[in-house]
Amino acid sequence: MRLRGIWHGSRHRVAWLGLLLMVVSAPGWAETSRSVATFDWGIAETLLALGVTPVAMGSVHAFHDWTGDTYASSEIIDVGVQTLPNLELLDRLSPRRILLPPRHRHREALMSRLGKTARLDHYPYAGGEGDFWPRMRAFTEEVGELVDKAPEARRLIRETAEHFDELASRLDGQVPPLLVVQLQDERHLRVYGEHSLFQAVLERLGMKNAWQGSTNQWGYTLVGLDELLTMEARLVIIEGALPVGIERHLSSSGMWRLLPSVRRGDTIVLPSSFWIAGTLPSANRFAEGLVEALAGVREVAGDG
Amino acid sequence: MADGALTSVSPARVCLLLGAGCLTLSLWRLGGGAGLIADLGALFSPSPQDTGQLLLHYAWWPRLLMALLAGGGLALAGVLMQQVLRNPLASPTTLGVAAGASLALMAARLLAPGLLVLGREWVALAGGGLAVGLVFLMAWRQGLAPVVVVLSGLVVNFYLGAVATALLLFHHESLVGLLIWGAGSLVQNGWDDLAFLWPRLLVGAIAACWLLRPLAILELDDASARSLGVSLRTLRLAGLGISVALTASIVSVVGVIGFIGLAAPNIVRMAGGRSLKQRLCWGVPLGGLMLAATDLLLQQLGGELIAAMLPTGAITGLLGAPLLLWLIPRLHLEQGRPSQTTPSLGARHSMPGRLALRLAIVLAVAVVMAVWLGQDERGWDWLSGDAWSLAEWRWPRMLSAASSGVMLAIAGAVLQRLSANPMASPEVLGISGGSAIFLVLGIFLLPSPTQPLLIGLGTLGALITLGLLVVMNRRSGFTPSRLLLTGVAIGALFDAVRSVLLVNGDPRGQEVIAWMAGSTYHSSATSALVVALLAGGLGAAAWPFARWLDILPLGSPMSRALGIQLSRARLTLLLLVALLTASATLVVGPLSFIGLLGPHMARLMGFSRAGWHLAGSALVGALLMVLADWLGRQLLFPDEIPAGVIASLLGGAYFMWGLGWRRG
Repeated sequence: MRLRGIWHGSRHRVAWLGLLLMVVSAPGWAETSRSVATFDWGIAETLLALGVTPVAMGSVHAFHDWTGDTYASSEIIDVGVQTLPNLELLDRLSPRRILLPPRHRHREALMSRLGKTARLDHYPYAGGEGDFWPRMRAFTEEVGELVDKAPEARRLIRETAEHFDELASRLDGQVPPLLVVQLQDERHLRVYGEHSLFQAVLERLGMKNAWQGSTNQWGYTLVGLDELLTMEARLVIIEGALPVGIERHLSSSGMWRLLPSVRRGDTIVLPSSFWIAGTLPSANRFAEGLVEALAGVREVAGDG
Repeated sequence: MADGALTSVSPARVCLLLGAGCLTLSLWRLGGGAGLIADLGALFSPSPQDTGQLLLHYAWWPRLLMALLAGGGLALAGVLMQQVLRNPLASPTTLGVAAGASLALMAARLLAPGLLVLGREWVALAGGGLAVGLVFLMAWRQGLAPVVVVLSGLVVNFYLGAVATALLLFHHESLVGLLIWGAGSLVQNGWDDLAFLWPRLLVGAIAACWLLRPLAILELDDASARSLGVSLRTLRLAGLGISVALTASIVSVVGVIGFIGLAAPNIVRMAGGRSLKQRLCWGVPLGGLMLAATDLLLQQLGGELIAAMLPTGAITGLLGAPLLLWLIPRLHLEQGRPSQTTPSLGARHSMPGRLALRLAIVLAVAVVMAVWLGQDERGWDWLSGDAWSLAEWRWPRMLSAASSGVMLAIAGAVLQRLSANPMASPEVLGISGGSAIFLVLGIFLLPSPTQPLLIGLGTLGALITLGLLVVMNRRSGFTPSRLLLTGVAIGALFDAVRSVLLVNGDPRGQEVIAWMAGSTYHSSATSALVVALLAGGLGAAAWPFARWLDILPLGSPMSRALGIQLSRARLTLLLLVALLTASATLVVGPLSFIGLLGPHMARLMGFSRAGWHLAGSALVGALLMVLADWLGRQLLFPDEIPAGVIASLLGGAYFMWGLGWRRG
């Protein structure tokens, strides 16, 4: 857990240093880079990773919750719920550019009264065809170009690739198939599969996702606990807005105790520091947390 | 009571048929794997190595038994409610028990999560009980007349729904689990829930049997029942108490299951089950079998055909709404008689013109406030020179709010006079609901919907609903009570569609919730002017009908005697109402009480004759919407509460408060 923080700290320092250099070398830059608004958390975290703090975003509290407070120190102005960002406040902030994911298309006309809008055509969770990583890279470059940070975007892509290679090398040997889930209540959970950030990360690290069923455009599907009983896989539980009292119900639930992974006692619980529809920064944090947890489990198993 | 076409069918045969269906589906499922005998054995002792058998033991068998138990329990609750209220349309969902329980659980999760650990069923019971209490309070003065009870239930459902929508808007991710619950899923993961439920249902069933004989007396009218020495009030309270407790315990375990409690007793009744005992003895197994059959079918379909989860509770709701539409013409509800309650809501004002002028002045003040007074990140601010551009955001919203308020209020005034029912409103007709179904489907099924496309879809939905209303009601001559019940069914259909779409927790769900909450958010100068023109035009079109609207509340015979062609007059007025409602719904969403509240308040102020009533309603509607929109933008700044939600909260509160003052 600590390790992850340190890695991030250094990343940020690099980013800030870069920003500082930019400010020194090109006056007027800081202002431009601060005048970007977005209401999508995936876009927001890519912006932050490129060294651009969006001036306004919806539901900032929830964003910090989901990203494990990685960006808690950045000064983003909360403009209200994501679905209805406050127009008057936005008008006063007068962002130069508003970055919209395709699902906010119906808001384009309204938003264009506030500033220049840009729809991100390569946004990775828009339901179209195509492999995940090429789309994610195209998206990152697209964002980079829109905020004049193309070199930073390319660097983020390169660094992510290197980071993944390094993480993959830490995973010596074969890891059994994993099943990435999020509990919704004591009988239902979301399982992540195709189109999801998590499956893409698993594949990139050379692991296998046990869930082969179809999923929605964010890459998950809602299932009853019983559908997992026959799956020979290690459970990766993503902790988030975990409903109260669920642990007690689960520990006494017949079905839960029978899940292969629970029987073996090798479930992995990851506190959420990544948004489920996140972009490269979330992918980095998820991969980091997962590899650490896998290594940890192996050590414990080795001790016993 | 209801002589259907099914007299050749007996309740036993219906049960047998459904039972055979369940058996076939079960055998289909059990036939695979280790063979039938071993699979049946898995009920008691599964072999721990065989995952197939474990699955049967921990998931399939408990799920089947839960469906039978929950269905039976809901049917029992329905039979009791219908008997106590002498109302074939009473049921746990129509009376708001489920909505109350659902909202109580949401509130508990957000405000006091500890309560949920202590016991979900108590939270659900309290919520459900309160909701039913509210319904009774509203219908008490009209002697719990069937239609009034169902309409009060609808109003309470609307109100609780508005609050729930607001909560969902701000806390979507933490309430996703409750969305699943609200859609009613029968998925089981062991025997715990069954162990929890069966003793409670057993106690309920014993109590119901014990009350059987006294309850049967309720089939007589009040006076005869009283002459037999029965305390009606105690009896009713006991019957309802049992019914609500049964529903709450079922709902707290499996979530909201629509329509079983309404449908099972009515099917038995139509199949010839006349006495209470028959309805109880056949209704309970029928309810269980109906739910089990639906659930088995969904399990069979679900995994193979559709990626998303199909929650059984919402699907029974989807199936139940057409059933209700089918039932309505076959139920004998009172028709065409003048309502005993309508006329004297308030004393007639001697000079309505002066009153209207005063209202107009208040409206002007509100308009100025809505445009000039607002907040920014530093605090309150009165609009001046440099910030003038903000007015360009505010005036279209203010104008759209006012216009939709005018349209809804006029629609409501027409409807209330037409139906001689102070509870009538356009929301109740289901036109808003029909429009909403199409919009929601558009948001979900189209990859990137544009605003004009969505507006087109919404209008199409409103028109289809209107067509349905006309076709369904033409033969009965557009009888008001029947018309309103059709609206109830369409509203239920909308709820079911929404539950199915939201249950999978799709982020698009948030867009849908934001739209349903009804906001002037998307208003632009052009759209606001269009809406204002529409409001003006349609409002003016309502004016010539004032004479009809003065006469129609006097009842059908009187109206006919005065030379009004009832069917045609009703159809014309209905069309007008539909157009008004559809236009307003596109701006403020399907939730709002303005159509109920505007005309009602205008009446209380003393606008009595139809012409003045229409004008007064329009003024009140505009004033309320402008205030609701402004409050919504200020209360939680920078978060916005949609105007529709605020209007619903204001309207619902007024309605309930007004009960204490209304003279019956």
